[in-house]
Amino acid sequence: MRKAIVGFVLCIVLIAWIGISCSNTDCVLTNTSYTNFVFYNERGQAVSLSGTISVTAAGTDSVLINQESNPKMFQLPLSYTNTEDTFIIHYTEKMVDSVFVKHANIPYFISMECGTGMYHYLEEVRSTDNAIDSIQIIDPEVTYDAKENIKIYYTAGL
Amino acid sequence: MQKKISKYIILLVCNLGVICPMNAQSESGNSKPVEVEEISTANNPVEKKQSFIRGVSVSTDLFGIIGKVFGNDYQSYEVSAELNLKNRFFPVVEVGYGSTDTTDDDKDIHYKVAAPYFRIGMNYNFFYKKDTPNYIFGGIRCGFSTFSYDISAPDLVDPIWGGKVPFNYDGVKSNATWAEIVVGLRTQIVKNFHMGWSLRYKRKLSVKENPNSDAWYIPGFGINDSALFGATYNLIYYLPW
Repeated sequence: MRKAIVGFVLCIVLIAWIGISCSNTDCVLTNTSYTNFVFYNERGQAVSLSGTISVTAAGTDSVLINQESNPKMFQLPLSYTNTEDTFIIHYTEKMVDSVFVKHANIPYFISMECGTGMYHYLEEVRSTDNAIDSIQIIDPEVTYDAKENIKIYYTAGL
Repeated sequence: MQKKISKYIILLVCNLGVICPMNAQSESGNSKPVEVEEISTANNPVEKKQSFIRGVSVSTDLFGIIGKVFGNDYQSYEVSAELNLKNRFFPVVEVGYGSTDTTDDDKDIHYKVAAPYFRIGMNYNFFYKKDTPNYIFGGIRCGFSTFSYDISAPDLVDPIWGGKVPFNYDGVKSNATWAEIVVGLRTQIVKNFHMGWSLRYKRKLSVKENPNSDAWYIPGFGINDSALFGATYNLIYYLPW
Protein backbone atom coordinates (compact mmCIF):
# COMPACT_ATOMS: atom_id res chain seq x y z
CA MET A 1 0.00 0.00 0.00
CA ARG A 2 2.67 2.48 1.04
CA LYS A 3 4.84 1.52 -1.93
CA ALA A 4 1.92 2.09 -4.26
CA ILE A 5 1.21 5.56 -2.90
CA VAL A 6 4.90 6.45 -2.95
CA GLY A 7 5.10 5.27 -6.56
CA PHE A 8 2.10 7.36 -7.58
CA VAL A 9 3.38 10.46 -5.80
CA LEU A 10 6.80 9.99 -7.40
CA CYS A 11 5.16 9.89 -10.82
CA ILE A 12 3.41 13.21 -10.15
CA VAL A 13 6.63 14.74 -8.82
CA LEU A 14 8.46 13.49 -11.91
CA ILE A 15 5.89 15.07 -14.20
CA ALA A 16 6.03 18.36 -12.28
CA TRP A 17 9.82 18.34 -12.35
CA ILE A 18 10.02 17.63 -16.05
CA GLY A 19 7.38 20.28 -16.62
CA ILE A 20 9.75 22.96 -15.35
CA SER A 21 11.69 22.54 -18.56
CA CYS A 22 8.67 23.55 -20.64
CA SER A 23 9.65 26.37 -22.96
CA ASN A 24 7.70 29.37 -24.04
CA THR A 25 8.40 31.13 -27.29
CA ASP A 26 9.32 34.79 -26.99
CA CYS A 27 8.22 36.90 -29.91
CA VAL A 28 10.57 39.40 -31.55
CA LEU A 29 9.47 43.00 -31.27
CA THR A 30 9.74 43.80 -34.98
CA ASN A 31 8.71 41.27 -37.58
CA THR A 32 11.74 41.98 -39.77
CA SER A 33 14.62 39.63 -40.35
CA TYR A 34 18.04 41.23 -40.88
CA THR A 35 21.11 40.08 -42.75
CA ASN A 36 24.13 40.47 -40.49
CA PHE A 37 27.34 41.70 -42.14
CA VAL A 38 30.50 41.46 -40.03
CA PHE A 39 33.81 43.19 -40.90
CA TYR A 40 37.25 41.54 -41.08
CA ASN A 41 40.70 42.58 -42.19
CA GLU A 42 42.67 40.70 -44.83
CA ARG A 43 44.12 38.41 -42.15
CA GLY A 44 40.66 37.33 -41.04
CA GLN A 45 40.60 39.31 -37.79
CA ALA A 46 37.36 41.02 -36.79
CA VAL A 47 37.76 44.81 -37.07
CA SER A 48 35.77 47.98 -36.69
CA LEU A 49 35.82 50.54 -39.47
CA SER A 50 37.34 53.95 -38.77
CA GLY A 51 35.16 57.01 -39.27
CA THR A 52 31.45 56.87 -40.00
CA ILE A 53 29.56 54.90 -42.61
CA SER A 54 26.08 55.12 -44.10
CA VAL A 55 24.25 52.49 -46.11
CA THR A 56 21.47 53.11 -48.59
CA ALA A 57 19.34 50.73 -50.62
CA ALA A 58 19.55 51.30 -54.37
CA GLY A 59 16.20 52.02 -55.95
CA THR A 60 14.77 53.53 -52.78
CA ASP A 61 15.25 56.73 -50.83
CA SER A 62 15.80 54.78 -47.61
CA VAL A 63 18.90 55.31 -45.49
CA LEU A 64 19.35 51.99 -43.72
CA ILE A 65 22.45 52.94 -41.70
CA ASN A 66 22.95 56.64 -40.99
CA GLN A 67 26.49 57.80 -40.17
CA GLU A 68 27.33 55.08 -37.70
CA SER A 69 30.69 55.53 -36.01
CA ASN A 70 33.33 52.81 -35.95
CA PRO A 71 30.96 49.97 -36.71
CA LYS A 72 32.03 46.34 -36.33
CA MET A 73 29.03 45.08 -38.26
CA PHE A 74 25.68 46.17 -39.62
CA GLN A 75 22.25 44.65 -40.09
CA LEU A 76 20.36 45.17 -43.33
CA PRO A 77 16.86 44.09 -44.35
CA LEU A 78 16.25 42.43 -47.70
CA SER A 79 13.46 43.04 -50.17
CA TYR A 80 10.28 40.94 -49.82
CA THR A 81 9.59 40.81 -53.56
CA ASN A 82 12.93 41.32 -55.37
CA THR A 83 15.45 38.51 -55.62
CA GLU A 84 18.51 40.78 -55.87
CA ASP A 85 19.20 43.86 -53.76
CA THR A 86 21.94 46.43 -54.07
CA PHE A 87 23.30 48.21 -51.02
CA ILE A 88 25.60 51.22 -51.28
CA ILE A 89 28.09 51.69 -48.45
CA HIS A 90 29.21 55.31 -48.08
CA TYR A 91 32.62 55.62 -46.35
CA THR A 92 33.14 59.23 -47.38
CA GLU A 93 31.39 61.50 -49.87
CA LYS A 94 33.63 60.23 -52.65
CA MET A 95 34.36 56.68 -51.54
CA VAL A 96 31.60 54.08 -51.78
CA ASP A 97 31.24 50.36 -52.32
CA SER A 98 28.23 48.49 -53.66
CA VAL A 99 27.16 45.10 -52.33
CA PHE A 100 24.88 42.90 -54.45
CA VAL A 101 22.87 40.20 -52.67
CA LYS A 102 20.87 37.52 -54.49
CA HIS A 103 18.30 35.80 -52.29
CA ALA A 104 15.09 33.81 -52.14
CA ASN A 105 12.18 35.15 -50.09
CA ILE A 106 10.36 32.84 -47.67
CA PRO A 107 7.10 34.05 -46.10
CA TYR A 108 6.97 32.27 -42.75
CA PHE A 109 4.32 31.58 -40.11
CA ILE A 110 5.97 31.61 -36.71
CA SER A 111 3.01 31.10 -34.39
CA MET A 112 -0.45 32.47 -33.63
CA GLU A 113 1.10 34.64 -30.91
CA CYS A 114 4.11 35.87 -32.89
CA GLY A 115 2.48 36.15 -36.29
CA THR A 116 4.17 35.93 -39.66
CA GLY A 117 7.41 37.30 -41.06
CA MET A 118 9.67 37.20 -44.08
CA TYR A 119 12.74 35.00 -43.99
CA HIS A 120 15.35 34.87 -46.74
CA TYR A 121 17.86 32.43 -48.15
CA LEU A 122 21.11 33.97 -49.44
CA GLU A 123 22.18 32.58 -52.80
CA GLU A 124 25.04 34.79 -53.95
CA VAL A 125 26.88 37.90 -52.82
CA ARG A 126 29.42 40.09 -54.60
CA SER A 127 30.73 43.62 -54.27
CA THR A 128 32.80 46.37 -55.82
CA ASP A 129 36.40 46.56 -54.60
CA ASN A 130 37.09 50.17 -53.67
CA ALA A 131 37.59 49.37 -49.99
CA ILE A 132 36.34 45.82 -49.89
CA ASP A 133 38.82 43.04 -50.55
CA SER A 134 36.32 40.18 -50.72
CA ILE A 135 32.93 39.14 -49.44
CA GLN A 136 31.43 35.72 -48.67
CA ILE A 137 28.31 34.06 -47.32
CA ILE A 138 28.81 32.29 -43.98
CA ASP A 139 25.23 31.35 -43.11
CA PRO A 140 22.64 31.65 -45.90
CA GLU A 141 19.56 31.51 -43.66
CA VAL A 142 18.29 34.95 -42.72
CA THR A 143 15.79 34.60 -39.88
CA TYR A 144 15.13 36.36 -36.60
CA ASP A 145 18.21 34.71 -35.12
CA ALA A 146 21.11 37.07 -34.52
CA LYS A 147 23.80 35.18 -36.42
CA GLU A 148 26.55 36.15 -38.77
CA ASN A 149 25.42 35.79 -42.37
CA ILE A 150 28.06 37.56 -44.46
CA LYS A 151 31.76 38.36 -43.93
CA ILE A 152 33.20 41.47 -45.53
CA TYR A 153 37.01 41.52 -45.77
CA TYR A 154 38.46 45.04 -46.03
CA THR A 155 41.81 46.08 -47.43
CA ALA A 156 44.30 47.51 -44.98
CA GLY A 157 44.19 51.19 -44.17
CA LEU A 158 40.43 51.72 -44.00
CA MET B 1 -28.00 6.20 -7.38
CA GLN B 2 -27.49 9.90 -8.11
CA LYS B 3 -26.14 10.39 -4.64
CA LYS B 4 -23.75 7.50 -5.13
CA ILE B 5 -22.48 8.86 -8.45
CA SER B 6 -21.95 12.29 -6.93
CA LYS B 7 -19.99 10.65 -4.17
CA TYR B 8 -17.58 9.10 -6.62
CA ILE B 9 -17.23 12.20 -8.76
CA ILE B 10 -16.23 14.17 -5.68
CA LEU B 11 -13.92 11.32 -4.83
CA LEU B 12 -12.23 11.51 -8.19
CA VAL B 13 -11.66 15.24 -8.37
CA CYS B 14 -10.32 15.75 -4.89
CA ASN B 15 -6.74 14.99 -4.06
CA LEU B 16 -7.79 12.73 -1.26
CA GLY B 17 -9.20 10.52 -3.95
CA VAL B 18 -5.70 9.21 -4.41
CA ILE B 19 -5.97 7.32 -1.18
CA CYS B 20 -9.69 6.97 -0.53
CA PRO B 21 -11.11 4.84 -3.36
CA MET B 22 -10.03 1.60 -1.80
CA ASN B 23 -12.16 2.22 1.20
CA ALA B 24 -15.02 3.79 -0.68
CA GLN B 25 -15.62 0.60 -2.60
CA SER B 26 -16.08 -1.48 0.49
CA GLU B 27 -19.39 -3.29 0.04
CA SER B 28 -20.40 -2.97 3.65
CA GLY B 29 -19.76 0.76 3.56
CA ASN B 30 -17.49 0.48 6.57
CA SER B 31 -14.00 1.87 6.28
CA LYS B 32 -11.99 -1.25 6.94
CA PRO B 33 -8.26 -0.87 7.45
CA VAL B 34 -6.66 -1.22 4.05
CA GLU B 35 -3.88 -3.47 5.32
CA VAL B 36 -6.41 -6.07 6.50
CA GLU B 37 -8.05 -6.12 3.09
CA GLU B 38 -4.68 -6.52 1.39
CA ILE B 39 -3.73 -9.53 3.48
CA SER B 40 -7.05 -11.26 2.91
CA THR B 41 -6.75 -10.77 -0.87
CA ALA B 42 -3.24 -12.10 -1.01
CA ASN B 43 -4.23 -15.20 0.85
CA ASN B 44 -7.31 -15.81 -1.23
CA PRO B 45 -6.72 -19.04 -3.22
CA VAL B 46 -9.32 -17.98 -5.79
CA GLU B 47 -7.10 -15.12 -6.98
CA LYS B 48 -4.24 -17.48 -7.76
CA LYS B 49 -6.42 -19.24 -10.30
CA GLN B 50 -7.42 -16.05 -12.11
CA SER B 51 -6.48 -15.83 -15.76
CA PHE B 52 -3.66 -13.79 -17.22
CA ILE B 53 -6.17 -11.52 -18.93
CA ARG B 54 -8.58 -10.25 -16.29
CA GLY B 55 -10.71 -7.99 -18.44
CA VAL B 56 -11.03 -5.44 -21.18
CA SER B 57 -12.25 -1.86 -21.05
CA VAL B 58 -13.39 0.75 -23.53
CA SER B 59 -13.39 4.41 -22.58
CA THR B 60 -13.96 7.89 -23.94
CA ASP B 61 -12.36 11.17 -22.93
CA LEU B 62 -14.93 13.75 -21.84
CA PHE B 63 -12.38 16.52 -21.27
CA GLY B 64 -11.48 16.73 -24.95
CA ILE B 65 -15.13 17.00 -25.95
CA ILE B 66 -16.11 19.72 -23.51
CA GLY B 67 -12.78 21.58 -23.74
CA LYS B 68 -14.21 24.06 -26.23
CA VAL B 69 -16.94 24.98 -23.75
CA PHE B 70 -14.24 26.14 -21.35
CA GLY B 71 -12.57 28.39 -23.89
CA ASN B 72 -10.20 26.07 -25.72
CA ASP B 73 -9.78 26.75 -29.42
CA TYR B 74 -9.52 23.06 -30.11
CA GLN B 75 -11.54 19.91 -29.60
CA SER B 76 -10.91 16.19 -29.66
CA TYR B 77 -12.98 13.03 -29.65
CA GLU B 78 -11.16 10.04 -28.27
CA VAL B 79 -11.86 6.40 -27.51
CA SER B 80 -9.46 3.90 -26.06
CA ALA B 81 -9.29 0.17 -25.49
CA GLU B 82 -7.36 -1.42 -22.67
CA LEU B 83 -6.52 -4.94 -21.54
CA ASN B 84 -6.18 -5.85 -17.90
CA LEU B 85 -3.21 -8.19 -17.53
CA LYS B 86 -3.02 -9.69 -14.03
CA ASN B 87 -4.51 -6.45 -12.67
CA ARG B 88 -1.03 -4.98 -13.01
CA PHE B 89 -0.23 -4.16 -16.61
CA PHE B 90 -2.73 -2.44 -18.89
CA PRO B 91 -1.67 -2.21 -22.55
CA VAL B 92 -3.76 0.50 -24.13
CA VAL B 93 -4.56 1.87 -27.58
CA GLU B 94 -6.06 5.34 -27.91
CA VAL B 95 -7.62 6.62 -31.12
CA GLY B 96 -8.92 10.13 -31.51
CA TYR B 97 -9.86 12.92 -33.84
CA GLY B 98 -8.52 16.38 -33.03
CA SER B 99 -9.55 19.60 -34.68
CA THR B 100 -9.33 23.36 -34.48
CA ASP B 101 -10.65 26.14 -36.66
CA THR B 102 -9.57 29.36 -35.08
CA THR B 103 -8.70 32.95 -35.93
CA ASP B 104 -6.42 35.15 -33.86
CA ASP B 105 -8.30 38.42 -33.43
CA ASP B 106 -5.18 40.57 -32.97
CA LYS B 107 -3.15 39.31 -35.91
CA ASP B 108 -6.01 38.05 -38.09
CA ILE B 109 -4.32 34.69 -38.60
CA HIS B 110 -6.58 31.75 -39.42
CA TYR B 111 -5.51 28.15 -38.73
CA LYS B 112 -7.57 25.06 -39.48
CA VAL B 113 -6.79 21.39 -38.98
CA ALA B 114 -8.82 18.22 -38.43
CA ALA B 115 -7.19 14.80 -38.37
CA PRO B 116 -7.03 11.49 -36.53
CA TYR B 117 -4.32 10.57 -34.06
CA PHE B 118 -3.16 7.38 -32.40
CA ARG B 119 -1.44 6.51 -29.16
CA ILE B 120 -0.19 3.20 -27.90
CA GLY B 121 1.23 2.48 -24.49
CA MET B 122 0.91 0.80 -21.15
CA ASN B 123 -0.44 1.62 -17.71
CA TYR B 124 0.88 0.15 -14.50
CA ASN B 125 -1.51 -0.27 -11.58
CA PHE B 126 0.28 0.57 -8.35
CA PHE B 127 -2.46 -1.23 -6.38
CA TYR B 128 -2.26 -4.43 -8.39
CA LYS B 129 -2.31 -6.60 -5.28
CA LYS B 130 -5.77 -5.39 -4.39
CA ASP B 131 -8.49 -7.15 -6.33
CA THR B 132 -10.75 -4.11 -6.49
CA PRO B 133 -12.11 -2.19 -9.47
CA ASN B 134 -10.08 0.86 -8.47
CA TYR B 135 -6.74 1.78 -9.96
CA ILE B 136 -4.02 4.26 -9.29
CA PHE B 137 -1.72 4.08 -12.23
CA GLY B 138 1.27 5.47 -14.02
CA GLY B 139 2.01 4.87 -17.66
CA ILE B 140 3.65 5.84 -20.90
CA ARG B 141 2.35 6.53 -24.38
CA CYS B 142 3.74 6.98 -27.85
CA GLY B 143 1.59 9.20 -30.06
CA PHE B 144 1.46 9.75 -33.80
CA SER B 145 -0.59 11.88 -36.15
CA THR B 146 -0.51 12.66 -39.86
CA PHE B 147 -2.45 15.75 -40.80
CA SER B 148 -2.90 18.65 -43.23
CA TYR B 149 -3.58 22.21 -42.17
CA ASP B 150 -4.71 25.46 -43.75
CA ILE B 151 -3.20 28.75 -42.71
CA SER B 152 -3.82 32.28 -43.87
CA ALA B 153 -2.69 35.67 -42.63
CA PRO B 154 -2.67 39.29 -43.83
CA ASP B 155 -0.31 40.18 -46.67
CA LEU B 156 3.31 40.83 -45.71
CA VAL B 157 4.13 44.47 -46.52
CA ASP B 158 7.71 45.37 -47.37
CA PRO B 159 8.61 48.49 -45.34
CA ILE B 160 11.68 49.46 -47.42
CA TRP B 161 11.17 48.45 -51.05
CA GLY B 162 7.39 48.40 -50.93
CA GLY B 163 5.08 45.73 -52.32
CA LYS B 164 3.01 43.00 -50.72
CA VAL B 165 3.34 39.23 -50.47
CA PRO B 166 0.17 37.20 -49.84
CA PHE B 167 0.17 34.61 -47.07
CA ASN B 168 -2.27 31.81 -47.80
CA TYR B 169 -1.37 28.11 -47.69
CA ASP B 170 -3.92 25.31 -47.88
CA GLY B 171 -3.43 21.59 -47.38
CA VAL B 172 0.05 21.82 -45.85
CA LYS B 173 1.03 18.25 -45.01
CA SER B 174 2.79 17.37 -41.79
CA ASN B 175 3.18 14.63 -39.23
CA ALA B 176 4.29 14.43 -35.63
CA THR B 177 5.34 11.92 -33.00
CA TRP B 178 5.43 12.45 -29.26
CA ALA B 179 5.77 10.63 -25.95
CA GLU B 180 3.66 10.98 -22.83
CA ILE B 181 4.07 10.18 -19.16
CA VAL B 182 0.70 9.51 -17.56
CA VAL B 183 -0.54 9.35 -13.98
CA GLY B 184 -4.13 8.94 -12.97
CA LEU B 185 -6.77 7.11 -11.08
CA ARG B 186 -10.12 5.54 -11.75
CA THR B 187 -12.90 4.10 -9.69
CA GLN B 188 -16.11 2.18 -10.21
CA ILE B 189 -19.32 4.19 -10.17
CA VAL B 190 -21.80 1.42 -10.98
CA LYS B 191 -21.29 -2.15 -12.06
CA ASN B 192 -18.91 -2.26 -15.04
CA PHE B 193 -18.87 1.54 -15.37
CA HIS B 194 -15.85 3.45 -14.13
CA MET B 195 -14.75 7.07 -14.16
CA GLY B 196 -11.24 8.39 -13.89
CA TRP B 197 -8.83 11.13 -14.74
CA SER B 198 -5.26 11.30 -15.89
CA LEU B 199 -2.57 13.96 -16.02
CA ARG B 200 -0.19 13.81 -18.93
CA TYR B 201 3.20 15.29 -19.59
CA LYS B 202 3.71 15.37 -23.35
CA ARG B 203 7.10 15.67 -25.00
CA LYS B 204 7.35 16.26 -28.72
CA LEU B 205 9.73 13.90 -30.46
CA SER B 206 9.44 15.05 -34.05
CA VAL B 207 7.34 17.20 -36.33
CA LYS B 208 7.70 17.61 -40.04
CA GLU B 209 8.68 21.18 -40.86
CA ASN B 210 7.50 22.97 -43.95
CA PRO B 211 9.15 25.77 -45.93
CA ASN B 212 6.61 28.41 -44.91
CA SER B 213 5.30 27.26 -41.57
CA ASP B 214 5.41 24.85 -38.70
CA ALA B 215 2.19 23.25 -37.54
CA TRP B 216 0.62 25.35 -34.77
CA TYR B 217 -1.76 22.68 -33.46
CA ILE B 218 -1.03 18.95 -33.62
CA PRO B 219 -4.07 16.66 -33.23
CA GLY B 220 -3.64 14.52 -30.12
CA PHE B 221 -0.68 16.54 -28.86
CA GLY B 222 -1.91 20.11 -28.65
CA ILE B 223 -0.19 23.40 -29.32
CA ASN B 224 3.11 22.78 -31.06
CA ASP B 225 5.62 23.31 -28.28
CA SER B 226 8.53 21.19 -27.14
CA ALA B 227 6.53 19.98 -24.14
CA LEU B 228 3.20 20.61 -22.47
CA PHE B 229 0.70 19.19 -20.01
CA GLY B 230 -2.64 17.62 -20.77
CA ALA B 231 -5.47 15.98 -18.92
CA THR B 232 -8.24 13.49 -19.61
CA TYR B 233 -11.46 12.70 -17.78
CA ASN B 234 -12.66 9.28 -18.80
CA LEU B 235 -15.91 7.39 -18.77
CA ILE B 236 -15.03 3.71 -18.89
CA TYR B 237 -16.94 0.49 -19.57
CA TYR B 238 -15.09 -2.44 -18.04
CA LEU B 239 -15.86 -6.00 -18.96
CA PRO B 240 -14.32 -8.61 -16.66
CA TRP B 241 -12.89 -11.60 -18.51
